[in-house]
Amino acid sequence: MAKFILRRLLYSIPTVFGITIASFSLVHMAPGDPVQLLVFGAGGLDPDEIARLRSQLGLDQPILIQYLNWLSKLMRFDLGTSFFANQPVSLMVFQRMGNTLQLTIVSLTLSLLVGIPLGIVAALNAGSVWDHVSRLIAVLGSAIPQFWLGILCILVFSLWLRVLPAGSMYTLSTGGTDVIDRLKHLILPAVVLSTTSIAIFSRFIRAETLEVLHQDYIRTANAKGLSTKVVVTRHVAKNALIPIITLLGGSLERLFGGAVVIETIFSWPGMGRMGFDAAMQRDYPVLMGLIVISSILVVVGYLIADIAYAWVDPRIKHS
Amino acid sequence: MRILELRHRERVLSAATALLVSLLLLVPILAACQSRQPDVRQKGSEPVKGGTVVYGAAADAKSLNPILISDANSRTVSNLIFEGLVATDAKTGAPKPMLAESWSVSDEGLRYTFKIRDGVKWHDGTPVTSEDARFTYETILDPKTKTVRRSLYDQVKSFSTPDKNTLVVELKGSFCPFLITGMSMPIVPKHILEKSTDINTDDFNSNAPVGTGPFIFNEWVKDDHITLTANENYWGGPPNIDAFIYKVVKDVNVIAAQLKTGDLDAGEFTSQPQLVSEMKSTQELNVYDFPALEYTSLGYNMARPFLQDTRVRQALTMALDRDKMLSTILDKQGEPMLSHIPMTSWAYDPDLPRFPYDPSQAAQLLEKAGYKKSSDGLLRDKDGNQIKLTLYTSSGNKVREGVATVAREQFKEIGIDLTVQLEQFTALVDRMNKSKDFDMVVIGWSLGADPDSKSVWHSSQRGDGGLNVINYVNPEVDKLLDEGRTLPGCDQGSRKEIYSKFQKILAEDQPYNFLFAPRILYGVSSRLQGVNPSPWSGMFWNLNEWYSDTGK
Repeated sequence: MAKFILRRLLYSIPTVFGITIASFSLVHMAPGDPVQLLVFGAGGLDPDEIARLRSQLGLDQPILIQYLNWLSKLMRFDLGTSFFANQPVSLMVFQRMGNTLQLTIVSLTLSLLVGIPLGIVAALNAGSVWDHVSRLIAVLGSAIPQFWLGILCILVFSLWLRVLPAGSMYTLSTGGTDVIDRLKHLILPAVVLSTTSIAIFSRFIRAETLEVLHQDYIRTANAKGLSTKVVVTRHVAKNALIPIITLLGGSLERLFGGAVVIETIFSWPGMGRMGFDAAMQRDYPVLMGLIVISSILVVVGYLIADIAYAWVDPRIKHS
Repeated sequence: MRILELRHRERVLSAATALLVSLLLLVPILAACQSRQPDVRQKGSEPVKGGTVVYGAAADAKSLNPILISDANSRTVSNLIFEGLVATDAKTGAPKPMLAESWSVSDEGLRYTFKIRDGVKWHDGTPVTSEDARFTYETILDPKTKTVRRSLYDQVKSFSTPDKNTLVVELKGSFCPFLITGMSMPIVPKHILEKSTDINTDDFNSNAPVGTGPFIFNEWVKDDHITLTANENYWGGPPNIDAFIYKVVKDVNVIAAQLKTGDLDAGEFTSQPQLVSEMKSTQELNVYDFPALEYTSLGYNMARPFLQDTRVRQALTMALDRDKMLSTILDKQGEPMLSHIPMTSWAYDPDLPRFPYDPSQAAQLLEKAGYKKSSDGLLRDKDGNQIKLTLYTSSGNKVREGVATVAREQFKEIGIDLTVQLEQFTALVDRMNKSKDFDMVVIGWSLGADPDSKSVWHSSQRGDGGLNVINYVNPEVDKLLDEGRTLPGCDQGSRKEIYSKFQKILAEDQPYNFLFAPRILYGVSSRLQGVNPSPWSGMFWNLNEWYSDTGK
C-alpha cells in the first residue's frame, strides 16, 4: 500500500507540472493585459511609466523566463504577490479559505444527508410516487439556476418573511462571535449551494442502488429470509455507496475552490469570488496560485479516493 | 402497455415540472413590478450624535494607501481616512483649502507656496508638517513605488520645506491642472512610512493606515467589510456618527434587497436605474441622485476610411435616437452629452452644434458623402460595396449592451449592417489600446474636475499608454489642449475660452456620439440626514456631517 501511495504521488508530480505549464500559457495568452487595465484606470500613462510598471510586475520578461521565475518561487512555497492588491497570494488565500470551507463543508454534508436517502428510496420504490418526487427534486435542483434561486430565497426569507439574513457571514454588530447568528447566515447559502449536488448525488445513488438490487447476492440475501431492513442497510446500501467515494474525491477541490455564484449573491467572502475577480482583471499571480492549489487538491482528492476504495472494498488490491 | 403508461406519466410529470419552474421564475419579476407612490418626508432639525452607517459596496477596496490606489472603490474608503493639501469644492469643482489653509501662486504660475493648517494631527497624535507632504510626493516619484500617479508630478522641478508649515513647489513649466490633480493627492505620514522596507507591500496599506481625516481605520476583513470609527480629534470637528462600515455586497439586486431590510444604510444602484421607483416607494429609504462625472459614448474608429468623413459620423449620430435610449436604457436617469466636458464644469459651453435624431437627414448626409441605400435596403458606396461595421463593447454592462442593441436596430434603418460583439472588459481594453481592431466602440469615460483631457484627445496619445483609442487627429484640438494645459498664469476665464473652442470642434467633428451622462443613484436610510452628494466629490465627502435621527 505504501508503495502504491508513493508511486501515485510520484506520478502526480508531472501531472501538476503539466497543469502549471498549460495554465500559465493559457492565462497569459488570454486577451487582455493587466497593465493596460492600470493605464485605463490611471487615465493614460507615459510609455516609460508603462515600461516601468511592466518590469515591476515582471511582465517585461519573455514568457518562459516569467514561468521559470514563478516556478522557482513556487518551489520555495512563495505564490507571488497580487498585481492589484499588492499582497502575498498565500495570505489572500489564507484569509478566505476558512470562510469557503465553512460554506462548502456544510453544503456537502447537506447534499449527502439528503441526496443519499433520496436516491436509495427512489431506487427501492422505482416507478412509485417516491421515485417521481425524487426525480422532481433532482430535475429542479439541476435545472434552476443558483443565482436565481439565491435571489428568490433572499426575497422570500429575508425581505418578505424576515426570518433569515440576506447574506454575509454574520451580523456586523455581533463581531462574528455569536454561533446562532452565524448558523442563521449559513442556512440560505448552504442550502442553495447544495441543490445541484443533491440532484447529482440522488440520481447517482439511485442508479447504483438499482444495479445492486439486481445482483445475485441480493437475491441470495432475500432468499435466506433476511428482513428488508437488513438487506437494504447491510447489502444494498453498503455496495451502492462505494462509488460515491469517487464523487467525494472529486469534491475536495470544490470544497476549497468555493462557489462564485453563491459567494457573490450571499456576500460571502470566499475563494470563488477571489478567483473570479482575479480572472476578470488578469491578476496572474492570484490566478496561478489558485490553479496550483486546485490541481494539487484534485490529484490528492482522487488519490485519497483510490486508497479509500481499497480500504472499503476488499476486492480491490493495489500493488 | 405498462411501459407506455410510464412514458406518458413521465411526460406529464416533466411538463408539470417545467410549468412549476416557469411559474417560480415569474415570482421575482412580479415582485419587481410592484410599486407604491413616493411620499414626501420632512428633514430632521438638530444633528444628533451617535449611530453607524453601513454602506453596501459592489467591490472590496484593494489598498487604502492613497498613493498606491488606482481604483474608485479603494478611493471611497481611503478618502475618509486621508486628506490632501487641496480638495475639490463640492459645489463648484474648483480647488478649495483642505490641509493647506491657503496658498499663493507666483505670477508666471511656476511657484506654488502652501501654508499648512496649524494643529492638524495624524490619527496617532503626531503633528502634520510640510515634511509629510513632501515625503508623499517624493515617494510617488520614487521609481520603486508601484503607482500610476507619477505623471501628476511630471512638471515638478522641486519640493522644498522652508519651515514645518510651508511647502514650496517649483514647476518646470506652467501646468494648469496641477493644483487640483497633483495637490489633492492625500498625504501619508512620513514618521511611519520612512521606516518601511517596501512601501508597496507594507502593512500600512491594508492593516494600519494612519491619516488625518474624519475617520480612523479600525479593521478590514478582506472581501467582507472595512470598519472606520469617528476621529473625535478631527481638525474640522468630530463627526456626528460613530462609525462607518464599508460592507462588500457585490450584487446590485442584493444591495437593493438589503437596503430594504435595513441591513444596509446606503448603497448605490446606478447600474440598475429601473430600481428607482421601487426604491423611492420604500418608506425607510430616500433616493439621492446627482450627475455623474462620466458618460457613455459610441466612438468611431477614425482610422477606418468610411468613418473618416465628418458627414458620415454626423449622419451616424443623427441615426440614433438618444432620447429613446435615455428612457428605455437609463429609465430617464441621465442627460444627453454634447462633448467631453460635463455640464457641471466651469468650462462647459452649452452653445454647441447638435445632431438630433433625424434618420432622413442622416440619409441625405450619407448621400452627399457618396453612400446610398440600394433597392435591397442596404447602404452601398459608389462602387456598390455594402457597408458592414462591427461594434464592440464590454459584456455584463447592461447600459452599454443596451446602447449596442439600439444601435444595431437603428443603423439598420439607414441601411447599415452592424455586428455587435461583446467582450470581457479587460479584453476590450486590450483591443482599444493595442490592436485597435474595431469600427465602433461603446465605452464609458470618467471626467476630472479639470477640463484638461489631453490623454483622450491629443494626437500624441494614440500609441501605447494613451487613451486616444479612436485615432482622432486634429491639429487645432492638439493646439487648444496644449494651450489649455500650460497657459501661463492659468487664468480661468482665458482657459474657459480655450475649452469652449475645443468643445465646439469636438461637437462638430463627432469623433464620438457623446450619448449621455448617467445620474448616480443612491438609496440611503431615511433616518440619515445631512446627506449632500456632489458630482465633484461623490457621495461621502461630507460623511462627518451626516447624522442619524435616532442616534443609532
